[in-house]
Amino acid sequence: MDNLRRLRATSGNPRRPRLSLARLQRERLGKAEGRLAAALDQLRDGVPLNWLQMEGDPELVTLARLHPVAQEVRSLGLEALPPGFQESLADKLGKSLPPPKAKPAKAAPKSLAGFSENVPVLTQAQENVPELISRAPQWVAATVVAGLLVSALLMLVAGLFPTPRSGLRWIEVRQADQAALAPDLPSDYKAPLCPSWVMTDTAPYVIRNYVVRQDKTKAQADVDFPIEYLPETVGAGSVYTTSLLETAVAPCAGTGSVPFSSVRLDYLVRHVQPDGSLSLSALTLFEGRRQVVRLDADSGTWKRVTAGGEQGVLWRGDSYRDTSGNDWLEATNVLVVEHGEVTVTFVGRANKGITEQLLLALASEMGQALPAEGTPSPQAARPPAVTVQSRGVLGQSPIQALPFIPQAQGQVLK
Amino acid sequence: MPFPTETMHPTLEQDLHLASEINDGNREALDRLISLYLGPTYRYVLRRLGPGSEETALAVTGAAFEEALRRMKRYPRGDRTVPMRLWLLRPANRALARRKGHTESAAGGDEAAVLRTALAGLSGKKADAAAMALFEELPPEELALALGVSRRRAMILLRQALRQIGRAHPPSPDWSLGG
Repeated sequence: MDNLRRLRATSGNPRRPRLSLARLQRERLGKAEGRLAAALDQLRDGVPLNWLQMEGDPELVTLARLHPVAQEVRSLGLEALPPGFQESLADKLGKSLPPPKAKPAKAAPKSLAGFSENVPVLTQAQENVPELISRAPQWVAATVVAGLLVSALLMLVAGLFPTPRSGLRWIEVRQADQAALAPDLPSDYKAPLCPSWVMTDTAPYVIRNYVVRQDKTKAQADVDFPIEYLPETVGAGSVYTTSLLETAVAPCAGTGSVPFSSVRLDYLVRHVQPDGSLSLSALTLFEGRRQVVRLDADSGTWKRVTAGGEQGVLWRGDSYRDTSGNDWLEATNVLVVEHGEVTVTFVGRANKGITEQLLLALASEMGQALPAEGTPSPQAARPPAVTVQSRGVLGQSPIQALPFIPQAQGQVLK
Repeated sequence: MPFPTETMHPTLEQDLHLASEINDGNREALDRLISLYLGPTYRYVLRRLGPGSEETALAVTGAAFEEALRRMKRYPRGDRTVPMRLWLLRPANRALARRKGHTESAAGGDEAAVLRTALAGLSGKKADAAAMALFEELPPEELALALGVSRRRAMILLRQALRQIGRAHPPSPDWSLGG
């Protein structure tokens, strides 16, 4: 009984566990709960469950069955809230706010040590007698001449050393609310006017609503650039194979709006390790035409890279929110490369095998397959795409003896 | 500390700051809380209710925010802090439960409707656990925080929910992985 009282005294409410993220992450799970937790993490990474996992576990079978349905449900409510609802709710709730607390006023700054306002300090006697003739006209003339000289000097320097241009048209890196790398936007560029998302300096990052497309043809019809897919195999030190899991399109406005659409491609990357073992990891691509891609360099590190002649920026850090709103919370690599007016953003976890080397190799391979800049019609430029494999393609494309593809050279420019 | 912008991913400190300022009667903080979290909370509610329930979803979301404001003084602090987006799912779940008659309607047709019907057959936290795991794709730790239970308890609830759904709606004989 005493022990119970002591416990109550120390923990407050004994019925309620003290929850914290760190504590929850340390918590040990039973075998069945551990399997379920791992399955949730795996699905969240975009990797479908396989039969081996589900064998003898009917709950995991149900989870695997429901997951694709839930994915469809996730597209609900992506339209903007009814106009005025937010304001009316804020007004309604604002009435039940407690009266504003008066903030403690800032104390007046104290005088420096050794100085007392009580001790009068006498002004010193004026020793200089003012001149009787005003020198103002001379000072004005001298100032104007000096200004002209400085301007001429600045123009000369600007002519000799022009402002370095980033060479990147659509990629921007921001640091402390400033552009650390500004895009060289074309003179005819107009920012997209999409009602559901607007990128401005005050709202530099946008979350777009992607809707799953069942096959490549439907996805292609919704965009105004040729969607480029990853090669099925790539060699980047060792052999990787890729499987497309899902294709989704975020229109600019409503459905069927083609300009400024964005495509999301979810891939599963298989990697045969040198010891013959197999690792699986998720890789997501975003593609868009004439759309600025902004990277936040307040956290993580970034550098400029080239992959197969294409320029880009590689960012790595522990917290990245992609443009579909998914959070990548561990060792994440983000590579953005430009090919003409199209930008391709790769997102994957370095600690799951999506290394810089692999991303550069993939970008290089894609760049070689892309049509030349200025190719007008995606439909005309590319043959009709084949049907995408539906979700859950794991095991449908067996690993074969793959040809070695020379790895791309990632050149660090900065 | 400045309030986070609409497009930022607020940190725990920023969530705490918002809660503290709201408790001090700061209207600007309330506006920011609403602009940051109204959309995600509404989406979650609508996903549970199904298409065609937009009006109900707005009412439920409004009720959830009203309750959240009343309970803001109890927003967990210190090492028990919960991200605001997860904490707001708690009043949303309670508001949904109060409208049990409307919750998880069969609207939407096909498999999504079957899933909502299955969720409607579950009780309290089991339905919440399944809905948040499936519709919001919360990882196990976040699911536990949103439910206000331990991770083990969250997984047990989810397992029970899946078991119940599986029994009530067994897979068709031709169901296969990826199909």
